Amino acid sequence: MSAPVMIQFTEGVLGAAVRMATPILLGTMGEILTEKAGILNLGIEGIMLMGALTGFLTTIATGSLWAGVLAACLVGMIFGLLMSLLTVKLGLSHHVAGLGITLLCTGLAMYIYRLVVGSPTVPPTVHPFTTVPIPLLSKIPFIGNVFFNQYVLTYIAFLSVPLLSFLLNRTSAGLAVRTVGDNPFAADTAGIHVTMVRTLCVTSGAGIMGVAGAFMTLAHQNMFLAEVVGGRGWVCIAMVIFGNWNPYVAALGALGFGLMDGLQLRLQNMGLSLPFDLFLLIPYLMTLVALIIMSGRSGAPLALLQPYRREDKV
Amino acid sequence: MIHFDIVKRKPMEPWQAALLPVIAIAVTLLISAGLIGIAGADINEAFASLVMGAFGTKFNFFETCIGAVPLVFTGLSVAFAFRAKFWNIGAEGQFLAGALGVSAVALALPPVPSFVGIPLLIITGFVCGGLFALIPALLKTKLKVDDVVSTLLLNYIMYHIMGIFLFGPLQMPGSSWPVTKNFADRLVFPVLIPRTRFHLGVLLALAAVAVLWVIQKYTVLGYETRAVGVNERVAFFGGVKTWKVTIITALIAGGLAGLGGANEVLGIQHRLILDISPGYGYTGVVVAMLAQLNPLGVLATSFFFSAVGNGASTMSRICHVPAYISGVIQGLSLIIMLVCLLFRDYSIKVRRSL
Amino acid sequence: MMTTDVKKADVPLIQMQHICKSFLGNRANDDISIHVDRGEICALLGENGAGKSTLMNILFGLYGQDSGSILIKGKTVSFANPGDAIKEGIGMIHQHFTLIPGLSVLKNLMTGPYGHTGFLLNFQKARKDVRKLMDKYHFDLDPDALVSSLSIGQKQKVEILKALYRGAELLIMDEPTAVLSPAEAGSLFSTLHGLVNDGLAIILISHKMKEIIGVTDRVYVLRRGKLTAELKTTETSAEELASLMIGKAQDDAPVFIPAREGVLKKDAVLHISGLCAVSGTGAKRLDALSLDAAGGEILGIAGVSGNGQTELCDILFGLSVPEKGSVVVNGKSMTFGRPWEVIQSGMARIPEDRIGTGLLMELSVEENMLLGRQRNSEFCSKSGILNRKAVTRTADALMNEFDVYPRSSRGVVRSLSGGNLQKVILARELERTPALVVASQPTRGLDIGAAAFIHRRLTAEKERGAAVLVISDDLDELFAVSDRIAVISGGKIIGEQSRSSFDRNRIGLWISGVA
Repeated sequence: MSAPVMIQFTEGVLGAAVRMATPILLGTMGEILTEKAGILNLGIEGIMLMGALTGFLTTIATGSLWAGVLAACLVGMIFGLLMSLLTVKLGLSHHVAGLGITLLCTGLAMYIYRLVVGSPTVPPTVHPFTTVPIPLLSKIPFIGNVFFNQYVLTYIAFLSVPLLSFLLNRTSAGLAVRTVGDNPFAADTAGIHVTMVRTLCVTSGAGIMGVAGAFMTLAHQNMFLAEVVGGRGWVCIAMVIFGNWNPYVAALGALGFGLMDGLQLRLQNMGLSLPFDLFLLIPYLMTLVALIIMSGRSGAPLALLQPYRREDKV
Repeated sequence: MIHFDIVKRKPMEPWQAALLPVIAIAVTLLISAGLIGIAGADINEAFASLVMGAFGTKFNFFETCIGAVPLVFTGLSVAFAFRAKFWNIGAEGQFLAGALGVSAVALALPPVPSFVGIPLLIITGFVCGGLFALIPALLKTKLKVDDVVSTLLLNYIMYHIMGIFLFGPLQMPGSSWPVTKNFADRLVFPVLIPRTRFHLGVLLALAAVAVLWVIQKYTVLGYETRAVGVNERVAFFGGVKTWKVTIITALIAGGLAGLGGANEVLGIQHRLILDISPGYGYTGVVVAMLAQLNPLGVLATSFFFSAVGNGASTMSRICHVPAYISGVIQGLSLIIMLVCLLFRDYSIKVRRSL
Repeated sequence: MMTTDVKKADVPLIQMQHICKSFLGNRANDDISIHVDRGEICALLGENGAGKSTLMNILFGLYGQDSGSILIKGKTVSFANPGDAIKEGIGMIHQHFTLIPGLSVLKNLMTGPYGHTGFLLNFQKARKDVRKLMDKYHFDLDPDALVSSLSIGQKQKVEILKALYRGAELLIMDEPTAVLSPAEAGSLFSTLHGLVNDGLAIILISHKMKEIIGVTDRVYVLRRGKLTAELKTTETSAEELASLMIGKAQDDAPVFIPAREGVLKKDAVLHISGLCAVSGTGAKRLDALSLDAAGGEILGIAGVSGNGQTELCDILFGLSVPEKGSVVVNGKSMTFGRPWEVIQSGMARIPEDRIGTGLLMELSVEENMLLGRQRNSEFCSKSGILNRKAVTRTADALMNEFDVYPRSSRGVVRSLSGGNLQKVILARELERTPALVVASQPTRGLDIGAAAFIHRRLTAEKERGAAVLVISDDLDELFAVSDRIAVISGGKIIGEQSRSSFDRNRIGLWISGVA
């Protein structure tokens, strides 16, 4: 391959990486917020799917893409409230409650889709988001196209990283979240309302996850399929651990996954004769390898997975 | 202000605890009735067609039985692992590993008689599933990698490995679909009841339930796995070699799920296809939780979910309620069962604060 | 002590009137009335379970009382949460610190809606305010140090600072010296004097008589949920307080049985040499500790918790591996980190943390009694099948012998009381007639009757010829049962005495680290 073709190829791959990282970024930030307060939300896979469906159907109904995003966020928050009820209020197993929500959402999403759309020979589509170049910045050679010629949702996803970090480290709300996640009794005796903080974090985190799902049907693709989320929710869970609960490091991991995802599409299109499934396999394998490398370190919130009942502590 | 306090209560009698899944299912069906109503179908008609599809005819009844077989295996797998606090969400991947291993061997076997070939294939299924479960178990004991995440990722990895084989070396010559050749007739499970698909696998499933029940109640292994599940530190203090227990638990749990995979290819499909599992591993979690991790309970709950699955497809044909309702029922029953389990150990007291 | 400069207000700062609180039929507080004024230190004295913590948790807003009222500066208040109490100027420091180890001191102080900082964390302002407070009370702390790197005494200072930063006018401290060395305790008390001179009121929850006499102005004595006395400290004595706290003299008091000549063995059953252990952060926990225990005697290990007792027990029990050193039990050298071998070596282990280390709470009594012996031939066949009948039979016999209540081997352990939990552990461990018994804090949290049972049983083991090691932070207990007392301080044995020459003062000095 000649040099300009190489550069164009790389530019394309990196641009795709940034794009494909968007849902992972959003989902991971939502999950970090949730886990920092002490709750593990395994419902993310299902919530992202419900977000994908809700966004899609709302856009078809209203004609507005942003209405779809908003609806996805709201639906995500509803399931976040359910998760809060189960884990925060009732103190049930995070693992099983989360899995239950994923199973419920998966079934519900397909059920509703089938009800509303039926089984047409040509599945309905929407006019997806288009990329919005940022004036001036997008003209920078190479970097311009990679970073500044993306969907608005992608810009939002990238902004969410420093925003979350700022929230957690430099605001009193963030300090409250971290205290709740490390030592809920300490938070309680400081006058912090543990249940409310946890519920807020789980709910808003789930709202963000809903938006991540909507990205898949409103930007990445333009239709809804059962496999549209395809395990990305679990990748977010892994990215949180990989990033040691730090938004910036987790974001790096998300970009890495996006890179693998984007590379995989391009290599296929180039007609390399490797098995198709090998490419689909690589992102998950890399995630697992990354987890193994990161094993043993732990910046995990100390009270993660532990329900808080004041009577048990006093 | 009114407060709800969650207060520890006296332990429940066994018969009361056995009622919990019944309550969970009842509530689930109630909510599902609502969803069916939204679909515009008549609720009575819908449930009638559900029951009809599940056991209305002799054929349907036997179909429900054989549909329960993979759920029994994944349910036992998850139940046994959960008891030792090994969160085996990877039953799906272990199921696929068993199916893949058995298919590869079945296609490669020279002509051997049934009584050699079939037991060999069954053992292969167990071993493949067990070995695949060894990966997350080793990661957990040696490297402290979280077992929930690793098993989830491995499910997807195994699925794509299967894809590589099904579009590659194992693919049926001349086809562009991810399917294998049919296995030789002497290598598949014999049908036990004529004019049905009721196959040997059902007996295997029943045997597995019995074996696991004995293990849990009457063996040292069962005792030690339970101890590790209750409190690993205390078990270690008590001389249990906890890492060994985790590994053995993983091998057995994986093997059971792998057997489920073996059953599907040898008993129903007689070949390997990409969609060999519509999520049996995940349904296994629901089956196990509703059974409260008890092997006999697994038998009952897997039959129930198989019934729902079969009934739902009949219902969708007759009443045009999407068959996906069975997935909704699975998710709902898991959540509601969790809440019911809460009431096994706690009761809610209303308090007015001053 | 109160200085004459502090003006006594007409109305006490805090009043609790006729407080009643019951938990599941048990009256934890039964019509208790107390009051505290500015500038005074009050003590709440009582045994475990007397109701002191409950009363203070009500004052701090963690519980609501069933009946009775709380008045602050004469005004009736009602707390739904600790937040409300903090707003009214009440601060509480619990026994288990409520600090976040991964955050700095400054950030720990800024937690909560009462960190005076608004939405954005204003580090500059907080740093200034904290500096002022630290200078005022002579706290020598680095605000940016991570809490995980502080000593226990320093962490306690951070807790006090936290309460002050939130505007506390009343400070409640729950057993503050339980984890401090005598030197650190002294430093704490001078800090408290400084606070009190400034007009703060302090309530100390304690069961240590000597501290109360030395430090407080008034004492409230609680016993089984009732207030039995309110005294000025200057007008009473340690002996009077002790009898008020315990009630009439107990007939269950352990009668000491001296080690008999024929039974006492010459050779050491337990021989520890040069044991070194390091904590996760690199701090030395055991510093070349050496110690011998002979068969037929009770060797008491005295010392304030936190001087290496936990690390020593973890090593002996097979739960952790030391850096250096050797342990020989009954002539066999121990391979570290293998509890199954420790069990085989004939050591009976009574762990400090019954619930977290010694018992499988969700399982039955018989299943707990099986723990450690599940592979013995009497319970388990070659192929791994358990003989459940034998398990039940043994459990029933043991429950009878050790008087465990309720007498049901299938009953879940979780529903047993503290004393019975300990009996289950003892039954399990002592059943195999061990050569060595290591008991860590064996009577902590138990009532007098249960404690006496434990002491009698340990003495019986000694009589039988076993070597018994009792590690305890309760000096009275050790004086009552031991043939010899060794003191552990800073991770090594700093001194030893045999019964004939027990000298309490000397031992007290050793405990505070003076060799």
